[in-house]
Amino acid sequence: MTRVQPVVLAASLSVLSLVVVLVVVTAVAPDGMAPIAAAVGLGAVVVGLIGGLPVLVPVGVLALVLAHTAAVVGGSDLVHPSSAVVVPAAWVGFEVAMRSFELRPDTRPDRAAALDHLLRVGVIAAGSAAVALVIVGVVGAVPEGGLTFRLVAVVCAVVLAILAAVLSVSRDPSRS
Amino acid sequence: MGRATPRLAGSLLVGVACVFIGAAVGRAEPVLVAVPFLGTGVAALLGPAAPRLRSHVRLSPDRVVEDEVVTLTVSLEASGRGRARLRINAPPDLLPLEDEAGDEEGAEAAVECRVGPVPIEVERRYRVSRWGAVPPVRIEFEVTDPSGMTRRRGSVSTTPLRSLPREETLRSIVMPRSLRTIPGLHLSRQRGDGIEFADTRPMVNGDRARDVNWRISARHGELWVDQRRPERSGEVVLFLDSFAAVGDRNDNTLRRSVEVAVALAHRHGEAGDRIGLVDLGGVLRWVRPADGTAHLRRVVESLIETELVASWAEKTADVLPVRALPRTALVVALTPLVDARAIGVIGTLRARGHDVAVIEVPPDSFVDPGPDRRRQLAFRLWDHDRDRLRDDLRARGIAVARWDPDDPLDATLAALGVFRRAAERTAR
Repeated sequence: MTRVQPVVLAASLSVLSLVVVLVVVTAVAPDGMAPIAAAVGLGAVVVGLIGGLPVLVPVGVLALVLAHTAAVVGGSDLVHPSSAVVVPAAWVGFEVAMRSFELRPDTRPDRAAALDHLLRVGVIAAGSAAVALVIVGVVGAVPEGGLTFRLVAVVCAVVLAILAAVLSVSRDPSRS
Repeated sequence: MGRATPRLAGSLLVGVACVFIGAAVGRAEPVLVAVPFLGTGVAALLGPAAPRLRSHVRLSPDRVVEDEVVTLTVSLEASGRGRARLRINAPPDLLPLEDEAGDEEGAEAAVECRVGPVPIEVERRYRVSRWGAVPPVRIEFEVTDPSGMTRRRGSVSTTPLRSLPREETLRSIVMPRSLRTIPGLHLSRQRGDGIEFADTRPMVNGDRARDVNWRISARHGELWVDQRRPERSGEVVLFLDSFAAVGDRNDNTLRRSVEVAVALAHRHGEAGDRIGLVDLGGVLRWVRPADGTAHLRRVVESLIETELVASWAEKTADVLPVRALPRTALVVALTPLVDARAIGVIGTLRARGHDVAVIEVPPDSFVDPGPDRRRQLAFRLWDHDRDRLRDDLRARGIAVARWDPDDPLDATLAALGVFRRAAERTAR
């Protein structure tokens, strides 16, 4: 039986995550330029993964984010519920794609190191998704446009940043 | 602080760009997307940097024989916890083997592992595919912090490895005409103390009683004594013709010459001979004759460092240092007989009275005339020319024997001995 190389596995997982973003964007705005922009972004990431060009990955992810923004910009909600999926999927796609470059060429990853990285990515993605969901709920409950709304948005953003930072260092074995 | 990895740079780039996009369109979604990117990026900048790595690398054993296995051991010790990626750049002369569990992944040149204050070791096994000076193994490493956001890079190399050619066990030996008074394994033509019986003669004053041959004495009615041939050692200079080589990198006449020279050096070393080396080609190298294990090792190491250096400079026997070629030494020339300068030097040495024997390492097997009739004709003419050259050398009293790699070297040495004994008888 042919064994799947770790680099292929990581690249596949990355592309899968970004396909989720593409599907969400297409579902939110089936017409217009948003799905095309998302497809272009996904294509850039795939080309970068195949060609070994890490610089294309952030460019592709940015294109996907732009596409999602274009898809939701016409909506009435300030924070579209689809963000709860797009935020972790975009980040996981980026993180695992960049990780796949580290596994080239034919690096044999240490099983513990690979599991450690996957666990870290999973925790941060889950945390991001959960916090995004909370923010969607909190911002949706506050009347739009007022000072309270702006304060809640800023506080939520700061809390989310702190939480992501805490999650990213909490798996640091040197601190455990 | 180590340098940022592409992942950290990309995270910060995407995060900042998303914040700008959010500010530009007045929506919160891009800012939400930016949060995990910026969060992990900022955490990496504020967190522990990539640890410093202390590495020690060694190849054991440092001297091997061709086709033997060497083990590369990389010891890693980091100032803190992190991940290390190693890329092992082994020279093509070292062929990777699978690990002890039979796992083919053990042969991979790159590996990632966790490092920390507790030293860890990474081992790789290689088969040395050819003899000679094997270039060092270079290990490039990149150490990152546990999150893989900052990194440090470095490299370390092993010391060069010396691989010796497989040694052919020889029974025969070319005996020098002049022997020293130092004991060895060559049977001297003179009479003296020894084991080998030579002759009997009537006893004279000064003969020892233990040499009396009582059977012959009883037959003659007077005392007769046995005469014996003492075992002596000699001096041998291996003359390596490195002017030209026929063949490719892995197998050519020069490499074969060196293999023969190493076998001869060991055999003459066993016989107690003083061994010297003259390597004449693009560069001139020599080792003065001496004996002992350390000297033999020096000669062998000089031999495996032999390289073909292209040179069109006219070189004669006058460039050879006198001390490297003692008058009484047997000069064993190892040559493909393709370069006129080497052939000229051999002839000159003989003309100056040196005891010279030639082992021809034939280049024929490396030359394919192909189906073209003109090339075949040229090949036959070349072959005839080489026959004439051998006859010419033999006419000067130089023993010449071809060594076919498929045949044992003993047969070649025996052929040399037959010619030399015949030439000696003729000279008497």
